[in-house]
Amino acid sequence: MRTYLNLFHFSFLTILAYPYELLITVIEPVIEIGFLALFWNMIATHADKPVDLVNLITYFIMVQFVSIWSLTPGGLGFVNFIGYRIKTGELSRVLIRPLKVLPSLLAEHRGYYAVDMIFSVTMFAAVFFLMGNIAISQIVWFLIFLFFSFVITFSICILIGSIAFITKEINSIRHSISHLIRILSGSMVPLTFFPEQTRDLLYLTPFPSMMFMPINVLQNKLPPYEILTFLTISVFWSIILMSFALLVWKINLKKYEAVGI
Amino acid sequence: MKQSVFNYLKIRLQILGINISNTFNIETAYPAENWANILSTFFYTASYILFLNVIFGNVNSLAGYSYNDMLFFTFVSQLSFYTLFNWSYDNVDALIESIHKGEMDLILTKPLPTLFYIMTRKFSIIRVVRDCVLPLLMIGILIDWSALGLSLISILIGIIIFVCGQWIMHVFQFLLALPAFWQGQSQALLRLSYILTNPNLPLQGLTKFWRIILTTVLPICIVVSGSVSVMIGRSNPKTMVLWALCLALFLTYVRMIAWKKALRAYNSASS
Repeated sequence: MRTYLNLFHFSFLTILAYPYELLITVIEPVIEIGFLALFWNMIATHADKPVDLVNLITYFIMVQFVSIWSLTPGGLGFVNFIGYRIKTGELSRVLIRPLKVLPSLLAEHRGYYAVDMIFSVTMFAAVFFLMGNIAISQIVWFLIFLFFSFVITFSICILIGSIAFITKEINSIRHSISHLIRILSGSMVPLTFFPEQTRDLLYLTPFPSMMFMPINVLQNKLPPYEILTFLTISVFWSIILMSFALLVWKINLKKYEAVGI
Repeated sequence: MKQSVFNYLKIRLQILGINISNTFNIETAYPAENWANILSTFFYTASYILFLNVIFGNVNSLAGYSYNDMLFFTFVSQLSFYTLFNWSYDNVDALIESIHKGEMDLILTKPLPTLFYIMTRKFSIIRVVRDCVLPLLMIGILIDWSALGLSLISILIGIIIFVCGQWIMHVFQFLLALPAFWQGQSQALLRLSYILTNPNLPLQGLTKFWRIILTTVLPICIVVSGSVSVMIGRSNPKTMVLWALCLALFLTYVRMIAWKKALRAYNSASS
């Protein structure tokens, strides 16, 4: 564990080399949320039925928060992190370490996002302030769903990243899937805006567990049966996708060939 | 000896030709990547159309823009995005990379018009066709063109505003890259332009304060919002085109001055 923390720390130090760049990284989500607020303000002004603007803004702040913690910033950025190492042969450097490959890659990657993760706490505080009263149980459920969001996203990243063993370049594949996830997970527009039948169908897929479900349990005091239904779906997809991703990774890693270290 | 206009253009055309051919070779190195890119733009466009459908399932119009107007807005926005990122963003990004890795020294020693060479290094015709055609076709088919009320004169003025807007956005990206000359890195700042260059906000939907800010201090709404509002007759064409031209001219001057200052501040990595 200590070695993984060292890897995390090392990446973190690399980022600290450019403090001014760091500042921009912090400002970036604020600007993004600002533009979204302007856009949704326009929609709220013209909507046929009343739209709760504060609720929408908190939703999009939480989208930023969840994406930072569940590996989605920059459109599944962890996929590129894996893909680049496979394409350039840098993976060999990771393979010769007496460490597990995926956790060490994850630790390194998380180090680069450490500042975002620290800053995300202020986002959470902003949501707390905007929403007024959030029950402890809502926060606990949110953290549980956030964990499953992370597992599902991590699994999807491994699956797409593994394609690099075959095609080498996976940037466009990552983009394709990331666009699809953006709309189906509720990152682009809350799923509550979708027609009811489409929404019910979407709930059965793994995508809402990546974004909509964690935010939904935090924003609304949902009845226990609804939370349990969401939880069952999230757990089911987490197990299925994680098992499949690890299998695919293992098979492809055996075929991996590289020259030098 | 002063260079003749003919020679000036000849050198630049030669550079452009070599750069286009070089980018072509890079772009065709991974054929599967090109197909995946088409798929990527397809998914993006499909998801954005779905997004608009979801929004217009809840509203009848957005700041006076109907669903059809918003489709046209998206059409111009996509055209702007892919064009800008093909001719400007990639080159500005490559400039930062060159400074960061010390490759800039080599570029500066070449007997070439440096700024022109740097800003045309990546010029991919394949990418323009590959990325632009499918989304524009998808959106174009859905638009009821006759309902937009376009006229030849409004289209022409719209195109002038669009071109000026593209130049303005390029200068904006260029200025965001220049801190790399002092700091050694400016990727995060440039990434900021990724968010700022495509706000997709109709001008009429903004409050007066934001409309002034986003067309003057931070003129990111001219290229799409400005040209669309003129083309579909929502803004005064004369004021908008004049403003776009003035701004483009002013920023050309700023770009030239900033480049000279940046070059003076550049510290060679190798000598």
